[in-house]
Amino acid sequence: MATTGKENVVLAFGSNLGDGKKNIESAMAALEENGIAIVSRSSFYKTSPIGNPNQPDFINAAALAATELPSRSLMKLCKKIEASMGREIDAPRWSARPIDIDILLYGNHTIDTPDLIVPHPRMGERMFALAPAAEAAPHFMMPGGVTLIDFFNSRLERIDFSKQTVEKLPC
Amino acid sequence: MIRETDMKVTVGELTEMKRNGDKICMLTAYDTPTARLLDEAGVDVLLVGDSLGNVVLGYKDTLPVTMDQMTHHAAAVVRGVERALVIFDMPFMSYQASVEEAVRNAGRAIKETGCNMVKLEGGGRFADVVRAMVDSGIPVCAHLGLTPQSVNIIGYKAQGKQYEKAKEIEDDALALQAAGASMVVLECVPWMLAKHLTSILEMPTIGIGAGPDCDGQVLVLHDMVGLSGRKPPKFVKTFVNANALISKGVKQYVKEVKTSAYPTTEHSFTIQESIVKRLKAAAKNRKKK
Repeated sequence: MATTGKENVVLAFGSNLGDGKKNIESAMAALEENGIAIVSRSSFYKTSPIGNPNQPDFINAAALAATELPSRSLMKLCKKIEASMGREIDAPRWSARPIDIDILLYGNHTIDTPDLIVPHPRMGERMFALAPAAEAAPHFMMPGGVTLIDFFNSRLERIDFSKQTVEKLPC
Repeated sequence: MIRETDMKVTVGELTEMKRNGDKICMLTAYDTPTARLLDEAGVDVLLVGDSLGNVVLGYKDTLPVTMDQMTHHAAAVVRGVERALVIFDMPFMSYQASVEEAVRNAGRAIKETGCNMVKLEGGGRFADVVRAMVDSGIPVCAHLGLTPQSVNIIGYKAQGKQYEKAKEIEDDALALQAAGASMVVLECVPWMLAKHLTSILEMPTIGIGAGPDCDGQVLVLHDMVGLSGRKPPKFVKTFVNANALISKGVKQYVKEVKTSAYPTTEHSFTIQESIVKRLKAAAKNRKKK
């Protein structure tokens, strides 16, 4: 897999400040300008905020992308794009934000460093990330040899998602 | 046996067909003229499948299909049907997140399209969803075995080949029947397992790649008439090559338009010669000025 120098990655996008769809489109465009190839993308989803419920609904989406960047550089690029689109670095964790970009999966690698953990540690509990990811890259092979859509289905059995409202929007 | 009555097929009748050993015939449809054609040809059940996504909307799989798209097409199918029962296939993320959302979307499917039943993929974990839909008066068709919302459809690998997996499919079928499902689609299940399930279940089984012993059969219309533009899976028989027929006709049309062989005045409308004369005269006068 690593022989080509290209890794397939799954990225999750979220926005609940301003025009969510437009923000996510801009973030994807910014990634592409920086050499990240967006291979496929999910529909947009409207989701209820978790953590701090007193904020607007989110628009979420996910993309399957290909990159030659190492995981840390990819993360830095994502942070840079977030900052350029107006997210304050020290903003509280659960606050409203124009754009949030998370690396859910980086090839079939497991990464555990202080500032980056992949697979994303909470993706299995978060329908707002998991559903778009499963749509964008259903056959993505995760660490542990399970496809993303099978992972999604197995989480449906184990987790009570009934408190999370996730609505797929027309494309 | 082809039914002789023109009466609308009901959910109860499907169970009766199973008891009488009358095979249930089902095909996919996504639009009005196709639905009318299938209905008149004697197809008992039309499935507005989420295969809509890859078969006619150009997506690579069924996952991007939305409730809005399904509603749009299902309503069109219902407008073309007099006799067949119509099933609305619940798309990805229309029923997975919560029971409430599932019932709300299923209710919308029935109310906005006039479909008679909804279908959802997945095993025993969706028993609660099925029960809640049935309690709200919505008939449900289950779907077990290979479920395209879950696996790579290109592979079309048969499901339930090991004992544990076969037992799981049996448990799922019984759980969904107990929850009130009216019917079950068995996709790519070994035929002996499908035969066994058909014999123990009260609800009709509809096979696709599941052998000859199911109570009924379903195929994607575009596959069985050679219109899908893909190599059909192993279990599909191409009954007629509509692709070749349409292509031949279209090529002929292109040729005749390009060579002015079509249309001739025979295909055209006429008006009185005097009217044309007046138009010509007026045009001439305009030129002079």
